[in-house]
Amino acid sequence: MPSEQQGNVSSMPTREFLTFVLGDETYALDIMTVKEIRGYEATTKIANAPDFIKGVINLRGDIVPIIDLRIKFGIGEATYNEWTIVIMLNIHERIVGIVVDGVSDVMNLEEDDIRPAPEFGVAFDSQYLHGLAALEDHMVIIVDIEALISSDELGIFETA
Amino acid sequence: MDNLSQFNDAFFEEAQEHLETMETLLLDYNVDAPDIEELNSVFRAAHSIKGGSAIFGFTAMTGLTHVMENMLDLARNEELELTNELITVLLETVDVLKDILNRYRNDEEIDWDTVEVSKQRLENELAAVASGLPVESPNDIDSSEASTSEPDEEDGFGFFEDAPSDSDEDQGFGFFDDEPPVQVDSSSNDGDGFGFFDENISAEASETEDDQGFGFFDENSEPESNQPDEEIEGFGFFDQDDQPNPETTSETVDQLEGDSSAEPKSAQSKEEGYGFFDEKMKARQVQDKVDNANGYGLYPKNEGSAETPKNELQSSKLSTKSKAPAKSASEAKNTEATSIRVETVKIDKLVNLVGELVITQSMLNLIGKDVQEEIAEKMLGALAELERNTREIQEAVMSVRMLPISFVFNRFPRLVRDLSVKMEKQIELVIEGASTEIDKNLVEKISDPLTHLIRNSVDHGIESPEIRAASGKSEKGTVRLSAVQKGGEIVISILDDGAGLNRERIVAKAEEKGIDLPDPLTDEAVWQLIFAPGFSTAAEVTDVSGRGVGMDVVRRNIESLGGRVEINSSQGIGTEFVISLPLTLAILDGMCVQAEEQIFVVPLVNIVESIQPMNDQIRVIKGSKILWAREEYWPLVDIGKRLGGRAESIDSLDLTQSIVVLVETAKSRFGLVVDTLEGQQQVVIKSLERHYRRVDGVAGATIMGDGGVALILDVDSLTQFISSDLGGASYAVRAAG
Repeated sequence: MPSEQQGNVSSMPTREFLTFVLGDETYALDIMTVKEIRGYEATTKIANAPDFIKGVINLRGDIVPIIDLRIKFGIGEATYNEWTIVIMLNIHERIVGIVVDGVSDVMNLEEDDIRPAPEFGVAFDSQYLHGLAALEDHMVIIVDIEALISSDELGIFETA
Repeated sequence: MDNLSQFNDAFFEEAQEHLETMETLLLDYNVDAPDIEELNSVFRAAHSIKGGSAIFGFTAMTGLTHVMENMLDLARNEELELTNELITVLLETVDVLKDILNRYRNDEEIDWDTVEVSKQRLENELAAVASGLPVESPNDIDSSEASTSEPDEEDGFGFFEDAPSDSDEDQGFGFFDDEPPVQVDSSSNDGDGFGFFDENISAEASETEDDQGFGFFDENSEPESNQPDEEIEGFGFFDQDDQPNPETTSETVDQLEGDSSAEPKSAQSKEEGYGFFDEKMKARQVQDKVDNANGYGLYPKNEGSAETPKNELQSSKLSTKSKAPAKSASEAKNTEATSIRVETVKIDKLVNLVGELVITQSMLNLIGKDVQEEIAEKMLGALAELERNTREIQEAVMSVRMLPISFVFNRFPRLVRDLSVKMEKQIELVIEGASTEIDKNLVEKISDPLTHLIRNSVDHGIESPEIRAASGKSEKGTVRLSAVQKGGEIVISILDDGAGLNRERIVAKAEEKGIDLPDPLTDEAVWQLIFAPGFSTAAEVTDVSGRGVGMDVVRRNIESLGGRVEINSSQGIGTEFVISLPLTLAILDGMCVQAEEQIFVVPLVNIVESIQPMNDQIRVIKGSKILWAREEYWPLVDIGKRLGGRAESIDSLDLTQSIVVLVETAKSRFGLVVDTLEGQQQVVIKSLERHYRRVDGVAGATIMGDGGVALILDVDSLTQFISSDLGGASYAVRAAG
């Protein structure tokens, strides 16, 4: 739980990140963008949309698109079962759901802990990466989720 | 006065409603075939305003409505014939009253000059009429009305008297509301306005009830000197129209008096009964005695029976009683729509919550199917009940936000009437589709642009009768205002049969103003020029329009609502302004169809017919199938392929296994190929763009009963698939013809 780690008084501002799993890799995104986490449910397909846009669902009266990052970035296998997780994000007043293989934890990071992202070796284009951080014995890739979701590459939002 | 200020708002609301009622009724009033019942309604409205304004000390309104009331009273007693001129005067008085009301509401200075002028005008009109009638002075017409010789005092009571005749009145004032049983009866019982007194009386012998009644007054009591004669009259007054016979009346009075003597404060409290009402008119308390007299005067007056002497309780009561049934019968006809004001945010929240409820309910339904053994049947029964209730709640909640567009349209007959009088034109306003439902937010925002456009049509569009006659048209011009829901849009059209837009003049004016001319200079492009800021081709600026500030504001307003304005015009025949507004939260009547396992909603307005094609109806052109139906060829759009994601085209499948929904739009007619029809349903349009983006062929989405999402087809934009399906645009054009 995030509160446990807040005992460490730090001079640097800490940010909380939600870590999630895509294939074999662990990613993290700014928890402030997360609206809720829910199970995957059947979507209504949208005509002529790219295959990573699974369709739309009804989120308490809002029609919300669901995108599968696994398909978009070719990571892992795009299977849907009762453990498939959708992270609902709130980005620029819009709600988008992303399908991931699992949600693992919430971690606190200071800016110092985040190292610059490498130019290669990650499925994401580096322009959507915030950096890398070490978590115990493995690396966590920190995604700039706002940039990713609102990018033209995903084409979810109409370019303003 | 503090304890009254809370009622001020209620009064303002009501007065506003009454004024609107008066306006509507006066506009509808047919001079040749007067409807006394309508006049009575107008009279009652005026009377309510007069009474209310007197109580709250809005004297500017009191004086004016009083004179107005006099005129109406004469009219309804058929002593005065309302001419069109008089109607106009009355309508103008209504305007002045509205102005006064607004000023009071906003704590502004009252424009006494206007009030006096308006009053004088009415009085003059009255005097003119009165001169033909026996013994009536212009200022105090009412020799026939015992009460009105003391207008102010009478007003105070007039208000309460009036309450039973109008259930709205009751609602406005807290103390009436406190008596629910009384309210229920209010249309049938004359005395109900006096809620608490009623309770005493209906309980008659019950002492405890009486005590309650007094208790009520006690709470409000202040030490005031007691005037015995008032006291008695006071009770007599309250009793009078509720008692079935004289004996009971006196009994009750006795009873009440007995009670009062048992109560230490009772003398005061009885006085307080008056004091309470009188507070509103504290300044005039000196005239208490007169009040009483007037209090009695009221009943006869409103019942149409002649003056009642101050102390003749019985006779006044009897006369009241005898008239009561007739009155209540007429009131039953006058049931008014009651409404409350609710913040839209609350309604939005309700809409979303209901959505969640529907999902939860469908989840329960699924679980219910797994229930075993003896409770299974009960469970399913209960779930079916729940499902029905949920659906009804959903429907009810969805309809709350929607208002018929008549809320906007209703103000235009007056506008057109006034303008045509002012401009000396003969204009008939025809309203169509007033029941089209529109989101409440749009109702408020569309009103100004529409007003502008209608003024424009009346001022610039319709020619003067002479010119019309000269050009072979009927002297009476027509402005047709219509609203219709088309797919995801509300289309409002303002069509006049006037001169039409003058292309040359518009172009010349645009050049003169230095406005860039579009290229190519089509008619449509020319018409759009009039929306440029500062553009006006009116030969002279009238006070109605022509200053050129209107049209650009109109377009801006409409565009800010996500709508657009189009103009069709032809010289000498007329001009049409077509406003298309999106329905952000409109309910759509749709046909649910299934294609490739997915539900789509086709707006019902677009549907011509649904058919299962026979083999001999299918033709193939350039490898694409088209359908022969209703004596013409229909190009087809394959929903399964276009929106459902099926790989192969219908051209390679057996069309006779599918359903073809024949649809039409303003531009074209074609058939939608779907797998099955699921049924007709009202759906709420949700925006896809809110969280996603626009999708071709899709107008929006909706949430189905099971919580799932269905896409609503945008039939207009589906036309683009025709041409590609047929491998050439030419066919679509021909089909469109």
